[in-house]
Amino acid sequence: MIDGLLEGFRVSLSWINLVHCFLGVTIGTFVGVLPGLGPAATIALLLPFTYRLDVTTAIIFLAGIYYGVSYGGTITSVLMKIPGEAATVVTCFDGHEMAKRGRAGPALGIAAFGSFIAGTLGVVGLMLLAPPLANLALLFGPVEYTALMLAGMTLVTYLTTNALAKALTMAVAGLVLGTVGLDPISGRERFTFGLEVLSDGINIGPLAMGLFGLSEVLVLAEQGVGRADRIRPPRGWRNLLPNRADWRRSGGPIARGSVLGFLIGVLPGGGAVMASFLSYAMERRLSRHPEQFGHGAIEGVAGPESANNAGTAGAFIPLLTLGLPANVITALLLGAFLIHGVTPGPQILQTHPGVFWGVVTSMYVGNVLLLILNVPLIGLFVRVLDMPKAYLSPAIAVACLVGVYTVGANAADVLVMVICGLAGYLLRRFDFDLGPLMLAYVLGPLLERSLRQALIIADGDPAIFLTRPVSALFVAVAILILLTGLWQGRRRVAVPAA
Amino acid sequence: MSSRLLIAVLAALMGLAPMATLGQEKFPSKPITVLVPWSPGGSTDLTMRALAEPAAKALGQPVVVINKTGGGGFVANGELAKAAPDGYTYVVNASSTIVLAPHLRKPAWDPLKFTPVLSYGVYPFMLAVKTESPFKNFKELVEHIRGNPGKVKLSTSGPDAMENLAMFMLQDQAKLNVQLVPFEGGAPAVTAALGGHVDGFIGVGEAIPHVRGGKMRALVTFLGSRMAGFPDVPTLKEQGYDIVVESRLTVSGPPGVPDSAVKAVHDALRKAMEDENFRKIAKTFEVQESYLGPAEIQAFHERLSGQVRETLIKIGRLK
Repeated sequence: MIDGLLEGFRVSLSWINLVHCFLGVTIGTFVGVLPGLGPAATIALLLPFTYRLDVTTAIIFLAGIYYGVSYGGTITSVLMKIPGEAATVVTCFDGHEMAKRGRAGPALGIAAFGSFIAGTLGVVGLMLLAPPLANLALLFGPVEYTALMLAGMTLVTYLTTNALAKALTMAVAGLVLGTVGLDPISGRERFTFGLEVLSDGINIGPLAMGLFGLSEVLVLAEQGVGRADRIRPPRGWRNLLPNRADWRRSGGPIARGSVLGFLIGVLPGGGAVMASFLSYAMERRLSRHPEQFGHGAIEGVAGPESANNAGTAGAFIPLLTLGLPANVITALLLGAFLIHGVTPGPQILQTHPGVFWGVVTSMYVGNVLLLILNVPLIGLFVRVLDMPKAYLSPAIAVACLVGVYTVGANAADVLVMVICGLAGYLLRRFDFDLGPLMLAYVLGPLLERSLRQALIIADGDPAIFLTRPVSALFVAVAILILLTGLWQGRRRVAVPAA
Repeated sequence: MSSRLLIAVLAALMGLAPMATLGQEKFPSKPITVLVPWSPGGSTDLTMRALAEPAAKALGQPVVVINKTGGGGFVANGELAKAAPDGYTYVVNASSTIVLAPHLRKPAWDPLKFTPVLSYGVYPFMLAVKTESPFKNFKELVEHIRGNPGKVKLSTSGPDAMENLAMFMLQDQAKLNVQLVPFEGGAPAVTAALGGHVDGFIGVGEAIPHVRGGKMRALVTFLGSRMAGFPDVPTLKEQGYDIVVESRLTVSGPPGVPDSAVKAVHDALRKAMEDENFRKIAKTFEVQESYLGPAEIQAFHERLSGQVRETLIKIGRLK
């Protein structure tokens, strides 16, 4: 392996690959910053331009975009509460609250360092654990997936400080939103009211940008901000980076987020979005001061940001070792491999060792480049906050509108976002947290699809969830989470009474 | 992003441009737009993009390929139905958006009234099992299904796809009972087959790298002739079933495009099919290079649409 590693660095540090790696991560960072346009669309559009490149260079470039995005996506989430891409929706919860408290610098800083640590750990994992973990991707079928989603769903109430009834109301709302569109098994339209707009369902882009970005504009408008009103950007170099206390609080979340994100990345259909939500819920569950979440808890930034980055490294395992794409983006990378005449799979280490090691080591290089690229820019990015709110709000509104339109060139998406913006504003006015809604919206459709697939496979017998070992394990986890939650809930109620 | 945005704005402007110049100048006098109803990066998108470059050279005007996703292809097709028939707007469709989905979802337009221009290929289409599977050939699988009705599960790329329909046709003709498990796209469906969660996969291109790499075995193809890259895989017809299901990649304009414009675009695309890069991409995704002209496309789709309708009624999906 040492030979492979050295050979890999020889490939990835050659000037042409270094340049393409740099180009890739830079484009990735910017795509992350721009709301709406995600990594999938970017990679797909740039794919034809890589035909003339050598296969290793092409993949290094395209992969750079993929993991670069999760660095950039944080920036708008923290500064403007617009998720730059789907995997950074969670960062809006606490990242923007930190910015409002003058701590935009530490939020961006911990996200960049967390991403770097997680990204690097992910590559180490990819290198050492690729063959054994590859089988994990095959182990997870609809049955196992159902149980995993069930366990994820039980975390829903840990996403909020709201009362249980309010949290569950929002979770149900999220589930309902996730059911709009075509039925995943029968293909019939449901809850579309005959509207063409809704036949595709409600996409996460317009939903999240409306609920978070646009509703923020409305909240600011209601406050009637003065011309000179602004969020104080942090001053001085020390306040731009996480301090010692921040680091102490973030160590655990970064470590846990890395492992969780990595494992979820390996699973088929698992991705950065799910990883970031689960990490947030888990950190809240484990935290000794969960009441700070949603009000600028740095753990709520550090965990999910690490998870979404580790997830990208994890997703390379089934791609490189089995030729199985775990998500849309790795499916595009598979296409890129195939066009260049390389079929990823168990033989890749024998047939194309230079390609395998070159791509893997380029991810170390890319993460270093991203850190160098991102950290010095924090000082520059936080200047955005120096803009008076009276000007910042319209800028946020325009960014949301244009961003949503660029994704599918579809005016209907813009309409959906505006409606979500109004809904988000009303919900916030009446103090409903949006976390449970988003988690249920992300996990609900996956749960429904895999549950129904599993039941077809089992000829309708639900016992299958308990007789398959992996599935039984996650069902047990779900029950455990629910039981400990009940116990804690009782204690929480008991304290004021005493 | 900005280039995409620019293209979108340009496209919007082109839609607004007056048709006054039509017939006065040589066609084409401005860029031609081809809408792809699916996300970028798939075999439809990549083959069309590969054709656009050489076709633009032949036409002397840019051919702009725009991904207009949504509604299972209906957003792009709805836009085509409303587009001016001036020869500057086209959609590249898979046959399913013309002969299958419209039966079920009753759009405001009749896709058989679109102006067919050229069909440049047929999607690959196979039933495959993982290599360790006990079924060595299609006959063994059929016998097993006969002995265990309803027990054999096959993954597909989603509900209401052409492959599901093809399977229904087969079940009807051969009196078989198989359970189809729809996934969200071909990749997870193949993963489920490789992981042994289902007995096999029926669908388009996603199994191809695994068949090439020896992890999966293709048992049969639903196409009319054997696939170019897999000459050993028999067709359903050779196995004794009177079923051919082919989904074609077809470029169409809105209803009523003048013949002169159709001919110009057709000739340019026909020439572009000789392009080396296009052939390489088509080969990669095992898109079978196969040309049909306007009249043949119309006949092909009308026949297939009738068959599909019949099957949908039989399985109770349509009245």
